[in-house]
Amino acid sequence: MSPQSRKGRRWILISLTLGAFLLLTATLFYLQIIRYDYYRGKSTQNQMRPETIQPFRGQIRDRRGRLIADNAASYSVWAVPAIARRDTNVIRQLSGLLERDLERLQRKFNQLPGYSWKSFRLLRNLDFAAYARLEEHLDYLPGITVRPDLRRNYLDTTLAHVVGYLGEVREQDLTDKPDLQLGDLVGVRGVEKVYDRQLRGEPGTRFVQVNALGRIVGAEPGYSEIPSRRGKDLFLGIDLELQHLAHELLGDRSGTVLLMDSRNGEMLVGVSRPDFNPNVFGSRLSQETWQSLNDEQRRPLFSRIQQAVHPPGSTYKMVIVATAMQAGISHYYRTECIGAYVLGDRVARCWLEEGHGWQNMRQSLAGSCDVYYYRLGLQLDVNSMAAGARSFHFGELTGVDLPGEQAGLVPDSGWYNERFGKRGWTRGVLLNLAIGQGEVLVTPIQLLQYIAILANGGWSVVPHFGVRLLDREQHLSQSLEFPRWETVLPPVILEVLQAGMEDVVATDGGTASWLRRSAYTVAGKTGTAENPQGEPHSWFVAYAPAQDPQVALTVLVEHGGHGSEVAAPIAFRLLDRYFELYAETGE
Amino acid sequence: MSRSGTSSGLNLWLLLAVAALYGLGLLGIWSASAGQEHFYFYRQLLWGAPALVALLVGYLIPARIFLGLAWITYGLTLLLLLLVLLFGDGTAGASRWFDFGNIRFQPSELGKLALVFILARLLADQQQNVNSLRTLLISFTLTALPLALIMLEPDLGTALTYIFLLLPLLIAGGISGLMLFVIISPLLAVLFSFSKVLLVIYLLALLLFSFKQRLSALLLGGIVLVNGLVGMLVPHLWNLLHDYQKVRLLTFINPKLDPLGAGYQIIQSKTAIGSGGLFGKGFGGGTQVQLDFLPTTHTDFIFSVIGEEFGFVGALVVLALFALVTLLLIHYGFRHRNRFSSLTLIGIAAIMFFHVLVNIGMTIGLFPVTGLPLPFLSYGGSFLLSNFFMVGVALNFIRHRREYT
Repeated sequence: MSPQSRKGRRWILISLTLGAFLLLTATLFYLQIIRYDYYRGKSTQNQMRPETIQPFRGQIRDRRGRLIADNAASYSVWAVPAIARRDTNVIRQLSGLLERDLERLQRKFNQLPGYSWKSFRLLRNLDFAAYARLEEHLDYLPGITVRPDLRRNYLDTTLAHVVGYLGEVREQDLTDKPDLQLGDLVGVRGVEKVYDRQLRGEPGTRFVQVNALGRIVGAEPGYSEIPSRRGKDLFLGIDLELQHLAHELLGDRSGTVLLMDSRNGEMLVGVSRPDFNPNVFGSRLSQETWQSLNDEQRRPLFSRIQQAVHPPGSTYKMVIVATAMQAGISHYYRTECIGAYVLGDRVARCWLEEGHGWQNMRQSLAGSCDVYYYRLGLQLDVNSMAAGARSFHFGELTGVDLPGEQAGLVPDSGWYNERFGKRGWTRGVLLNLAIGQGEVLVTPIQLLQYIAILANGGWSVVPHFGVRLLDREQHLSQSLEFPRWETVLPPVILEVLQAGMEDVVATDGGTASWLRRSAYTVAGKTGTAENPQGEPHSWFVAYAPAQDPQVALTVLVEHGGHGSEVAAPIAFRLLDRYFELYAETGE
Repeated sequence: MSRSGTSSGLNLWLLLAVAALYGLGLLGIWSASAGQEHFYFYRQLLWGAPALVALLVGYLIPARIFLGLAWITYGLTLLLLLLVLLFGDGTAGASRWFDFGNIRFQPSELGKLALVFILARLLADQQQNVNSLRTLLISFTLTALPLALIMLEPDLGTALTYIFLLLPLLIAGGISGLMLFVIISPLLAVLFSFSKVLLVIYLLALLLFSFKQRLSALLLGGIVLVNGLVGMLVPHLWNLLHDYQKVRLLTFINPKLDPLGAGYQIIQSKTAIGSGGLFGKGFGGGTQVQLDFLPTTHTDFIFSVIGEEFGFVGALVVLALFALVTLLLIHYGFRHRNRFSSLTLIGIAAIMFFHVLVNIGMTIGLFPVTGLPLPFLSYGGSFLLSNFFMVGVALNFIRHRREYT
């Protein structure tokens, strides 16, 4: 080989080498200098994650500040889908370690956006033992973390239907609640739902460094934390002491006991039974619990307070009296009860077989004489009765701060025509309607509002459980405002209604006279709502003290029998306690 | 052996460059194994001692011994490669190592040098005409035998190194431009293999060209046959690749195909290096490395650690050192009076260069993930050992560059 050729070959190899090194240098220059900003951002994004700081949900307290709902420490399992889905065994192992149903867990995991590098809460309410077990095995569970969390804790279990409970937000609800993400809890029933926005607070954000397994390794330097804002505390009008008594008095019977400050609508007692322990929704539901919650007969998840609709029975008689007097019938109108009334081929009976004898309007209320009302009813018509009922807000929502309220039914001629056809019904329906039977349907909370109108001399209030919100961070207390308005009720009608209701207890012929107390006066009305499913429902509605009303109440015992025998005694024992507690102050 | 007057001193430039690269590698491994209490750092540091011994051994054995033993070492390499296939540790579906407790020995590592020796001996032989078909066929066969065994392991990266070795050796050995073209021509056939029409046109052009160059009938026929075969077989070769190899090649072309798998490494490595900027995030401050976004940082992706923590400046220092090493070897390779030593130096330069190009190219997304480590920097005892041995041999040969024998 000539020296020339040797030199040329040397240069070929040297220039090839230099060319390659230049290529590497140029690429490095491109990556590190020209595209620096892009890759810098990418690496920051890689390791930096905004993590949501869960706000402390506001507490729920009774009118005296006693705790009803609070938060307790627990642990949650979080998953970073993009990492966790790389290993198909992760969910299987997780389900094994925590003894959870694999299929359900897998389904839940699959709902998460699989590409996402964000953390999503997969499971909540782990106890410490489960937390410790998981923590030990985290090395085999890429993308899974366990973090401290808060669990809702209900200290009172007699208020399940009023307070409600929390559940995970539904995917379809996320669009109009941008501050929520999949896996977050929201109120699904009761005041937890109605006041959810205020109780929930606002989530904060902190910027953390995570490693490739999605584990948080520390705070991201240079980014300050946006703190979460604690939710507002909700004070209820409930008096826990009275609530517990009422709960106990109703016992295992199904029904409701409602006690309200008639002057402003604050609910002191809201019992609905059968009920449930709201804490069961916080943890895994056993098959047994699930079945008992869904019992078709008892329906423990069904809140009777604002959802049960029944005929009002004789508690409706004040409506009929008011309607009759509006129609021009004098309260001096007298008629004789012989225990039954005959209309054509139909015999309508009075509840008192031997009959009430001669009665005027006031007396008819006290003794709850059915025959008197048959006669009154036949002088009226369906539409004027419906108008009378609507003037007491029957057939419409009371506006109580509980979700799912029912409006009941106030039938008028239009309704009957539609239901039975133009000629399909007769004036005979008036006999039923006059004593609160038949097609008319009311909720317990509607009856309560109606009694409060009578107690207040025409003023309507909206029954409500929430009374006050307290922002503990800003030390601001905010009273919840509910409307009050006057129902036009001529004084002469009001006087008759009030006097009649007083006589129910105060006179010996009154249906609840056997319960008369010396300590305080009560104006009330018993009711017995017939129903085809069995024993009649037992109603008692009242306000007290009769002269200067402070409270209104409704007691319903489903299939309880006569109002005077079942519902009324519960009411009086509750009032006994109320006046012991509130006698002096009136508050 | 060495006589005063013809022998030169120890080449300090090469030694210092290699020492600096080893030192930078240690820094990178320290940083990359922070999560393992620097376990790999200490091990790599400890490996420095046997590596130094290997360097000394390579430095002290006279060139004629390497020359004389070239056939034996080559035969031994083939035997070991065969044995590792049969008895090697089959971890991760590849059987590349002999496992001796703590130490893993990879025969293909030493095989590179053995191949350099045997090819250097062949091409240095004055009786052989480098441009003869016979010599070329022998050198192809010598390369192909270990290559085939390594492909079976399978270890694509190392196998490519073996192929790459041959070319610079032939160039330095004096191959003619025409023969070089003949050798490279199958590569063109690969390029054209994806269209049958283009392939036919190419083959016809090749035939015409060879005819005009008055190549012997045997060579002419051979070229066209080989090119035709390559062109037709390449499309089927794809199906012979292992799944993981296919994935690697596909994700190299488009890393976003599998952002969480093979492409993930490339994306994260580029992100690490790119985010290093001019001066880097500082020693131990590489978030990509420290937060485990980059896998195998202490071995295959050690350059990404340097790039992220020491920036463009640090990366350039590494590149410059490697360029210095390669150019020194080429420079002295061409100045050596002994053809065997001369070609050996070129061969060693080729091994180093190829590793550097493929490894660094991989970390910056120029090449697919092949699993070739970076000489002197990547963690790995036997790899360090064989590299230091090669440096020892190089220092040895450079020192005796004025000797003819």
